[in-house]
This record gives sequence, structure tokens and C-alpha cells, in this order.
Amino acid sequence: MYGLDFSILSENYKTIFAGISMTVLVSSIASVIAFVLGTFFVYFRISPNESVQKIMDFLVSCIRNMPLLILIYLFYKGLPSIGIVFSAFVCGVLALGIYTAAYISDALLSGIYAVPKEHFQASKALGLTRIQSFLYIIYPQALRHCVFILGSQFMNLIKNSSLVSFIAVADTFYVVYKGMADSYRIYEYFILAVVVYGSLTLFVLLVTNILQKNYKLPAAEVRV
Amino acid sequence: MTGNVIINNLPFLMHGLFVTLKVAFISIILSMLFGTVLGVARFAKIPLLSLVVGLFIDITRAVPLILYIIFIHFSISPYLYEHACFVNYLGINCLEMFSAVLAIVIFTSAYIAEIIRSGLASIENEQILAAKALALNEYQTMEYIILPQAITRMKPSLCAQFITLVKDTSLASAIGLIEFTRAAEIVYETSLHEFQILSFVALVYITINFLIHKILVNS
Amino acid sequence: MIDLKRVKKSYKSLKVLNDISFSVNEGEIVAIIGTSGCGKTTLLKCINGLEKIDDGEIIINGENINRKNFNLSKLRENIGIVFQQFNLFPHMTVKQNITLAPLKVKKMSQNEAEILAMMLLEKVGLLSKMDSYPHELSGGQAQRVAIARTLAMKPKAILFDEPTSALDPHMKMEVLDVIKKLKDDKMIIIMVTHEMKFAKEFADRVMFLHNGQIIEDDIPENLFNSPKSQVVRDFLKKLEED
Repeated sequence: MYGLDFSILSENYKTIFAGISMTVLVSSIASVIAFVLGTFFVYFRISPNESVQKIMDFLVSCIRNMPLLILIYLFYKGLPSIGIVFSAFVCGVLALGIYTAAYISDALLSGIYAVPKEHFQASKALGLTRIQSFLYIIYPQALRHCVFILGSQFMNLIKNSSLVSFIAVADTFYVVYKGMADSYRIYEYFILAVVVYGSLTLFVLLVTNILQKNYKLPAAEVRV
Repeated sequence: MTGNVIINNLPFLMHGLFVTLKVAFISIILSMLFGTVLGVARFAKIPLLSLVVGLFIDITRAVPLILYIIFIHFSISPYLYEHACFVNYLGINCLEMFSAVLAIVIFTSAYIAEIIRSGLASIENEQILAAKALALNEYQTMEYIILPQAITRMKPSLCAQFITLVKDTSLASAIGLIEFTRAAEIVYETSLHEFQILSFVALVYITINFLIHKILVNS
Repeated sequence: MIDLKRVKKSYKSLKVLNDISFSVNEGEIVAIIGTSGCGKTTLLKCINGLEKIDDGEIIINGENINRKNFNLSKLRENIGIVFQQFNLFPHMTVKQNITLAPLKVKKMSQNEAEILAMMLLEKVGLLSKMDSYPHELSGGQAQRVAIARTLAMKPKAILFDEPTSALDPHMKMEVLDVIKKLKDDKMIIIMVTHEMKFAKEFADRVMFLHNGQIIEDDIPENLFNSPKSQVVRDFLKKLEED
């Protein structure tokens, strides 16, 4: 019978800790990129100009329909071949941010659908410009309608951040994989990874629940 | 010039694509099967079973798929593959493919289970009451009232999950399965032109997933 | 015949039905009135076996429906219920809504069931809506379809749970007109309602339910013109003021 022996983990605590820090760092930066870019996407997806809307919808569904791994490779291996070079870290973060932005814009769109139609007209009647009414009236409400979907997208982002290890960014999964291969203590490292990713996603879930409780608008008119 | 790289290596790339589609197809069928069983088990609130199933689903959903693939490939997969000859009938012909399918199925089942459970739970209690009042029994209520409505509501989520699954098969390249992504890597490692090849691969994935979306949404 | 003996039901500490006894004879039409939240809906659901009672007996055609192994399905074929919110099945057409139970429960042939559906739709004046979906109907039309759906089981008794309270005045009339037609069918009708005028003209008997108890049970003239208890007097007075 295989006996679990966690001393392998404490021996390598420095590398493991560095890996966890890298996961947190990559996820945080990518989250910011995804949020800003996702907002940008959704602003054009509700544009009054129908062709702008269509083009943006198409772009977003293209990003959603390709594997994240391919997007990461495109940045890390594709761009250098046409003369654009970024570091592995930048490539990983950018790809992860753009990929998640597509999903964030979907989440925001569902939130915008939940905003009562009258508010669009009301903000127009107040003489606000399109950007103003989006930023001050529509977007803040939309955010509150889709707290939960947004939260689950950020949880996905944390899990997806493991793919940066494919381009040798030393994140949690990279460390776990190396550890498994070097020491063959598969179960110990697996449990470590479950605990790390589990706690990180749980953290986001808790934050989401708090936000949901405090900021969620009444769901009476939510129709997704 | 560029076109040549792709055309010259097309048979190899297409073989990779075939493996991707095979893994995706087998995995979709199997995870629908297991996912439904798990989802119903969690929905039915059977004392101990629902708790265990719920725990499995929650843990699986908190962990990256790539971790499952590596873990399963390194641990139980070689042993299982040796003893489960029946998988050959499914078209699984190497250990790498077996590990990939096993990991993807376990992982996706957890997600599908959650879709099924919430789909069933979304049917209003009044509908069930009305069916009861018409003297329909439990199976008839399930068959004629709950399922048809739940399936309509679950379809978009299931469709998104299938598309995710097709994309997820690219992760099998990590354990050396020569599917579409790994095939592309091999081609550009020998011939360069990374950007063109990767764009082509991205385009193929996008087209496949567009088709899946079209077929499922319009059906 | 429907017979209730000392029926009790509570949710946690709240006593919804508190010692209710009455019986309804063949062909009798009973209106149940009372303040909202006094247990009227629960009472109907108990008679149909949709909710279990805590104590007492409900005896229908000589059988106690709360004993173990009682065939509730058989009971529900004989006692139909029409809900306040219609509860039509949104994924089925009007015709499918009506024929479902005759086909699946009574094992009628498709042909027979469709003829029955057409006859019933004719009766409620909606033959033209046969192939419409519930979301294409107005509230009044939906409720008339729900009535036709219940009649399709050829029940011996039919329970109405505030069938008009979700409707505007105009639609109320069309539904009440359909219900009036049922008088000729010699069914037991038990109807929870807020329509006092309707109860007065249409019912053979009116019961007043208050805090889970029946405090008055009389013919309409007596109950409306010379109520015995103070609660009923206050209730009627308040209605007049509105």
C-alpha cells in the first residue's frame, strides 16, 4: 500500500510557495485585463450601430471558440515568427486576460439585458451622452445583476491560469508537474494542487457571495 | 510559401484533427451519460449518496482539468488501461488517449451533472403540482412535464459545455497524445512559420465549435 | 360524496386547518369565502391529496384517502382542481395540454382524446385556440383552457382555487360564465373565491373560513343577509365599504 508522505512538500516549500505566488500574480493581472477589456467589448456589443455590434459579437465568439492553449501559443510562438516578441510571462497574462474578457463580456451582456428598458430612455432624456449613460446608469446596474456569473468567470480564470505552465511560467501547476515527474510522489502533489486551487477559487466564491449579498439588485426583472 | 507549409503537412494535421474529434466525440457521449446519472443522484437528495456525489462535483469543479489529466495519466490510468480491454471497441488505441478520455470524462461529468441538476430544479413546483392533479404518475410527470421543459432550458449550457470540451482536448498534448494541437506543434517545430500554422489551427477549432453551436441551437 | 372529519394541518407552529368537519353531497355547489391566508387553498389541496393532513379523516366515496396505500392517482381522476395561476404546461399546445391526461392516464385513443378536447374547447369558447401555446393566450383564456383540461378527466368533483383572482374584471366575467355552465353537469363544485356576488347567485351553500376553522356554513341568503357571527358581519361590512 502506498503511504502518503508529505515531507516531500515541506522539503520543497520554497519552490511551492514561489509557484503559488506566481499563480496569484498571473491571475490578478489577467483579471484586471479581462475586466477592463470585457467592459470595452460589451460597450461595443450594445452599440446602436448594428455592424459594430455584429463585428464585436463575432470577435468575441471567435475568442470563445478557440482553445486558450492555442491563444497562448499564438502569443508566445506565433508573434515572434512575425517579429513581435514578448516575455513568456507577458504572453501568458495577455492571452489569459483576452480569453477571459470574452466570457466577462458575455456575463456583462446578460447583466445589461436585466436593466429595465426605461433606464436607457431615461438617461437619454436627461441629455447624457452614450458613454455617460453607459458608465453612470447602465453599467453599474448591469454589474450588480451579474455578480454571480462574473465570480464564476474569475474562478475559471484562476483554474485556466495553470496553462501558462505550457510556456514555462513557473506557476503552481508547473511546480506540481515538475514535482510529480522528479519525485514520483504523485498523490502528495495532487493533493497539494487540489488544496491550492480549491482555496483560491473558494476565496473568490466567498468574495462573490459577500458582494452578491450586499450589492445584488432585486431579481424581479432579470430575464437572461 | 506559407500555404505550402500547411498543404504539405495537411495529412499529418488532419490525422491530428481526427484524433481530436474522436476524443471529443467519445468524451461527450460518456460524460453526458455519467453527468446525467450524477446530476439526477444529486437532485434526488438520497441521503448519503447525494452528499458524496455533491462533494465529488464541488471538488472537481474547483480544480484545473490539466491537473486531472496529468494525475490520472501518472497514477491509475496505466493500470486501468491494461485491464480494460473493452475500451479498444470505443476506438481508444493508446494509453495517452485513454488517459485523456478518462480525465476529460470525469471532469466534464461534474459540470454536466451541475447543469442537469439545476435544470431539473428550475422547473416550478406548480408544474409538478398540476401534473399530479391530473393524476400523472412520477415517471409520466418526469417524461412529459419536467424533462421536456428542463432540456429546453439546459440546451444552451450543454452546448457551451460541449464546446469547452472540444477546446479542452487540446490539453491532451501535455501527455504526448498527437491530437490537433500537438500535431501543429510538431509541424512548426520542424518547419517554422509558427504564426501561420497556429492561425490555421485556431481557425479550424473556431469553425468546428461554430458548427456545434449552429447544430445544437437550431435542433 | 366528500366528507371531512376533524381535519387538522399545521406548518411548523402555524395551525392552517384547525379541526374542520363538513360534508358535501352529490351535485352540490359550495363556495368557501374568508380573509386571505386563512387556509382555503390548503384545504382544497388536502381534499385532492396534494397535501397530507396531520390529523382527522377525509372520506371520499366512502374511502379514507389518508390511509396507507390509498390510490391517490385514482382519486385525482375523480376530483379535478383548477389553480389560481392556471399552471398550463408552457411547452405544449392548448390541445396537448388537454389531451395529455386522457391519453396517458385514461389510455384513451388519440382520436377519442382529440374529439373530447374539441368538445371541451367548444364548451369554453376557445375552439379557435386549439393549436396555440399558453403564452399566446390572455389570462382569461388560459384559465378557461385550464378548466377544459380538468374537465377532460370527466371528474365527479371539481375544486376551484380562486380561479379569477389573477384576472382583470373583464376576463373574470368570461371565466365565471364558463363555471356557471358547469351547473348542469351535476358535479360537486367546491370553489374558493372572493367574488361575493357570484357566490350568492351560484352556490347552494357558502362556508366562511377563519383562522383555520369554519365559523359559518349556511345557504347564501342566510349567510349574506343575516350572518350569525361578528367576524362575518365585519368581513361583509368591510367589503361593502371597499
